[in-house]
Amino acid sequence: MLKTLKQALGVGKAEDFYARALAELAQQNPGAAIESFTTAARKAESEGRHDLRARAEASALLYQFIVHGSLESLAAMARHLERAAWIERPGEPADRVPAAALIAEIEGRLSATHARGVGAEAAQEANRRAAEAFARCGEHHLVTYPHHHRGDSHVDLARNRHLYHSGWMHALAAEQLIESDPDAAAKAMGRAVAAFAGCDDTDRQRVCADALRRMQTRRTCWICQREYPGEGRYHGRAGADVTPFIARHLAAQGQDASCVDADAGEVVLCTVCRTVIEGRARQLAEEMGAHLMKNIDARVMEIVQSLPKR
Amino acid sequence: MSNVPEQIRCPSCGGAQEMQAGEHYECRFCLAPFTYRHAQEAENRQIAEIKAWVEQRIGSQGQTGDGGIDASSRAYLFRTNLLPSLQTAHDRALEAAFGFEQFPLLPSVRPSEADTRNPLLQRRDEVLTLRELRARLASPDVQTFAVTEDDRGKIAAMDHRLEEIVGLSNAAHAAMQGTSEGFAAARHNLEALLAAGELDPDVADRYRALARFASLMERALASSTLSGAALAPEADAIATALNDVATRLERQDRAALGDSLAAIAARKEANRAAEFGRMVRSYDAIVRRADIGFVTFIEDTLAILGQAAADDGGGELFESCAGAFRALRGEVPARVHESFDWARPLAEGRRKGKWLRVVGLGFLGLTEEIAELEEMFVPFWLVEAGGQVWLVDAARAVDTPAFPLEGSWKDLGVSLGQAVPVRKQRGLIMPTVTATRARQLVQDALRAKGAHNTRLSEPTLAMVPAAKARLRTARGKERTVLSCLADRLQLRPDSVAGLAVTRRLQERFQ
Repeated sequence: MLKTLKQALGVGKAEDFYARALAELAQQNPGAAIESFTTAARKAESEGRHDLRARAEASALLYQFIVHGSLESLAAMARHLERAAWIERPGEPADRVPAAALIAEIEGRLSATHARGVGAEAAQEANRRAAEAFARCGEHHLVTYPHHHRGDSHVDLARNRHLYHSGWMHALAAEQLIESDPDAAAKAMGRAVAAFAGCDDTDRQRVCADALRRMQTRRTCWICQREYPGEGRYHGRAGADVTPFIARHLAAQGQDASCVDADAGEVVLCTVCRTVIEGRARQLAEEMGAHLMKNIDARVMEIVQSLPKR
Repeated sequence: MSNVPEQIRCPSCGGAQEMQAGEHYECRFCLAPFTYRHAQEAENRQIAEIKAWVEQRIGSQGQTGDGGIDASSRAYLFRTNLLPSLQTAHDRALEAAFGFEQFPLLPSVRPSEADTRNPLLQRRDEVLTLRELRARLASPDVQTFAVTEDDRGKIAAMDHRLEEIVGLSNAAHAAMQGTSEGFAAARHNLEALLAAGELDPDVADRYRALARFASLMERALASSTLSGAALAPEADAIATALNDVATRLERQDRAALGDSLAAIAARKEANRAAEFGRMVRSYDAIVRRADIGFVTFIEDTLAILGQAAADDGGGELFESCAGAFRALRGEVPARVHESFDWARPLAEGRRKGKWLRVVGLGFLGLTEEIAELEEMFVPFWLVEAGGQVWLVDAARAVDTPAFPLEGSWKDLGVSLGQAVPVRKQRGLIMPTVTATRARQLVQDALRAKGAHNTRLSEPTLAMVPAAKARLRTARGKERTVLSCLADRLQLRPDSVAGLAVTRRLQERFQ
């Protein structure tokens, strides 16, 4: 009774307020727990108990995040954790979460937020930093991720989170590398497939495996006869009047018969040839259009002028 | 000189066969049947096609060996007229197998639907056509133009890759049969690849471990009597070896594109080897009769547990069943609530038409009597989380609820709290929900309550009493009443349906 009264009046040791915060958490009262943790931190400072102060500050911020979902709380929490060895796991006070693992988790989580709504290069870098941070967590069960994850997947284990961000990092790297080095791009995409497979993300694994297949597919251009890897980026199909004879003829000549699809009536064109043709066709169409418009304008003017004036 | 060739090749996969006396062969690599005559005709046709192809590429001089052309001219012709065409054909042919590396090569005891997605199986017809390209690469008509070491190296590199793809496709295809013969053929293919050399050391280690796994399956599926204790350590060792290979293949500095993909497959293969170890250990634990072989055990058990038990993770289900069987036999203590006092009064209470007898209308024959009362155990997974004990129905594959033993349930939590020997053998409904799934269900239930960070214990199997009463009138009308723990827990008829099959298993294997 006296202890409760003392605590209600703000009298007592830091440890008492810390214990009270844990008791309030057990009673599903995080708001009151945050206040008690804050008081415990203030008292610990005056008592010179730096570790307890750091734990109390970090815990107060952790529950602020859990209640309000503000990522700023996490950034501040990481700073306090640097002076603590561990904190109690939310919902499992007997389980101590090592501060180093939690700092790495926060670092990874904050890096991951920078991967949204930015260009491919910045997103790749953000995913790289996130993947590295989660790798440092080891076999850590994530503490903050299960809360406020906006439907994000892989929120249980740091290992899976590491693989998930690795997958994104490699996939984004592959998309950029395709411009300069398709073979390196395919290799990066292979790593993305492996990373997504590692965290059982079968949908993304499938998407990346399909992208990998396209990156590896090599075809000879019907027009320039150059062979390129990278279906979709460096070569594609265009409609043409091809018969089964043409495909057979190519095979008999020892040429690349895969650049002809007689059934679909298509041939393979490299991106360069296709864009040259398209560019020229567009230019001709514009010239033709301009010429026609000029003629139409002249004719319209003629008609207008021939109308009887009122 | 005799016209009879020293070796004959399978017309389907191109694998070299040992000569034998009879006309009929079965390929030891792909298990395709063929006759000697058929193989010879195919070979002659192929030789003629290769000659025609070479002639088309370099003119009629290709018809007469080196055609009397000097070495430098042959080298020039090879690089300008033959090599580009061979390289393009090689590259395009390999497209059939794109992405195969990420699929485990060997299935579990019974292949699953996921195994069939491997391009080596899905596009097997195209893979088998690689034999024609291999024949072209190996032909003396082509080889004679590969004058330099570099050119011969290019041909050899292409051939090794094609040989690997065909060999792996053969191995996967043969093992999919799920028989001892199939796994033997899979082993032959892997051993042939290893004997051919030219493999990356880590890739070779993977094939070596897979050949051991195939051999293990071959023995397990062939034997009418099997000792799980003898095979399980080998399965565990193979799992360790494959996991080691996967770790090495995952290294970021690996050069080949397929390595990171092969690491995925190696991990899955390691899991399958470990699962197989669990299955043979379960076989030892469940089967007590020498005349029941592993194949019979697997077939009968899968009939009850369904394909899920053969899929990845199914070994866990076998292990749970084995644990339950051993507990029932009193070999190991179990979390069991063995109170059946409620069963008869409950059945009595459910009888219809009792009042008819009281008012002297018993002669109408409408009063129900208890024809049979069967006591049984229902398996539940016990998971400790957040200071509470949770129960998950282990016999209900769908809509399985997870609930905490709180309030009036605490007594059950206490009685299941300690493992004790089962006093009396009774029927058991076979578990069909894995421990991993049970854990997931508890975690989902906790999350739904806002507890996101709760740590869970490893699930343990508990046995809860249930009863099935057959009620019958004198007129022979029957109905069945089911209850689990005096209706405190819900018992679905489909869960009980598995009881008869489990009993058959018990009778069969004890």
